[in-house]
Amino acid sequence: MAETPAIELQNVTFAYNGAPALEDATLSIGGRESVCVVGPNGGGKTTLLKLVLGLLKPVHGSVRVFGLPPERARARIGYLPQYSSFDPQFPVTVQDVVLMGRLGGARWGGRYSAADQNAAGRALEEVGLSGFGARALTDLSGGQRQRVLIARALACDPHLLLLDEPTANVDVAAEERLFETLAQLNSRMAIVMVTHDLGFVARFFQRVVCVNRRLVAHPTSEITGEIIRDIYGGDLRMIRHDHICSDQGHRINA
Amino acid sequence: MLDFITALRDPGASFLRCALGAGLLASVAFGIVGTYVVARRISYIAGAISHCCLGGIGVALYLQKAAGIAWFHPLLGAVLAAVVSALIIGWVSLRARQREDTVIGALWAIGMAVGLLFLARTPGYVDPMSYLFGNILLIGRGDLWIVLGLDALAVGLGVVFYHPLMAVCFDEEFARLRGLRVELYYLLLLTLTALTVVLLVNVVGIVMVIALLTLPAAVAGRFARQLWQMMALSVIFCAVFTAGGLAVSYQTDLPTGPVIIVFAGAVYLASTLGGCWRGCRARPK
Repeated sequence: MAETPAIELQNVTFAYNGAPALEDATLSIGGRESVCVVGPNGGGKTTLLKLVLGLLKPVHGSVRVFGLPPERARARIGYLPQYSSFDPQFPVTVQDVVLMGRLGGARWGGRYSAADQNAAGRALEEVGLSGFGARALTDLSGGQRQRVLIARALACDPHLLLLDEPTANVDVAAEERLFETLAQLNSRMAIVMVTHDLGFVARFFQRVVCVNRRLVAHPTSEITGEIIRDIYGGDLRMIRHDHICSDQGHRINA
Repeated sequence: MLDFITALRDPGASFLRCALGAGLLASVAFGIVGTYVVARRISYIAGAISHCCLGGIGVALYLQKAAGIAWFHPLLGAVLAAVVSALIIGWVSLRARQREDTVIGALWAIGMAVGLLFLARTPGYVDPMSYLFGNILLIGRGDLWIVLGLDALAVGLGVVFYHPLMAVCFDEEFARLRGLRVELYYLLLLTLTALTVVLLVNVVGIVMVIALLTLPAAVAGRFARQLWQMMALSVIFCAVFTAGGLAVSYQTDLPTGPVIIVFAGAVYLASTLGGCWRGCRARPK
């Protein structure tokens, strides 16, 4: 029996007030796959994630997550939203933020159980922040806060992890750690990450999805490009481009 | 200051004890709900709700005096107007986000206008000033029970739903993805705000509601590291501002509401400047 794909998009079209953001997108992502979503600003990357989360409804086509409509699969999705959407002054501890990943529909007010506290602790350990639970979120560095939000996504016990620009506002060392964490997590969940940072793309992901209103998936190949190495430094893989997405083709950091 | 304490013990000055009691009791609700309002950034909604209270008060006074419906207390009118306007704003902001500010502005002015029109047609003279600028000294023994009831309701709901309300204030989208009924919690928060605004109208008056709802929480936010700490601190600040303002106004024979607000505003300004000063010194050269 074939495994149910984590994400399945069929001929999905989405438009904001008539302006198309995504056209005829078809994509299938397996249960242990790691996929990176790249493309220009406004190309539809975040739209794609929000369709998968069921926050947006496609105009045409169907979205299935683990074979279910997105709203019903939400409990199995861990989500890291774009960094900029938070009030950095919000008075809250690291533990409280991670515990938000344990909130569920059936609970009315009430307190978190011991199991919730343990799950939050495990999630913090997984992102290398055990012992940070009592710290205030405002006291942490940008990279640490990002990891707290990843821990919040992991506290949901997800089978699919969606990350929207996790490397924005994060230094190179923090990015390195994030990459190690993701490599571990990938053994038990599918990972889909939106990024601008092509250096990140090539090292870890099995496939790259280019989104610029239309959607095209590439496998990452073994070829190491000297030019890209010069630009980004470190050991990188180049993405095989055997099609043209737009009139100008792909442009890095366009 | 001693005069104020002496006056509090004067058997003839029960109005002063009622005022202080109401102010201190209500501070609990102000601190807790004010923290949510500041954290969720909806103080302008609180402003609209408070101005709608005048509509409710005007209608209630008119019904009492012109239509002879004696039980229609102005406080009841204020509660109804506040809750209805909160639910209208909530419904609009959930359904049609882009027109939210227009509706808030419209309700703000319409509530006020309706109130003034009904007051104009109410037989006898009603001074809108005491509603606009508050007169805590008018709170009687009977009102104290209503204050206590509203207080208990606002505090109870705010505490019972602490975790989900915090999640909704911190990151509404994530809370929705976790299956939380975000719309319900948002409406709950607005209803709490409405009840608290009615309490505030009695203490500082319609025009100055936003200040006493947000300033204590804003000062508390400078020191707090968790939401409940911010609540506890802002309850304390609010009680100090209210009691202090009452004492100073008694001593100097100035209107209570404005004194409370100026006191709160001065502390807020000082804490902000202090924070800036420390921030500048901490910055490496």
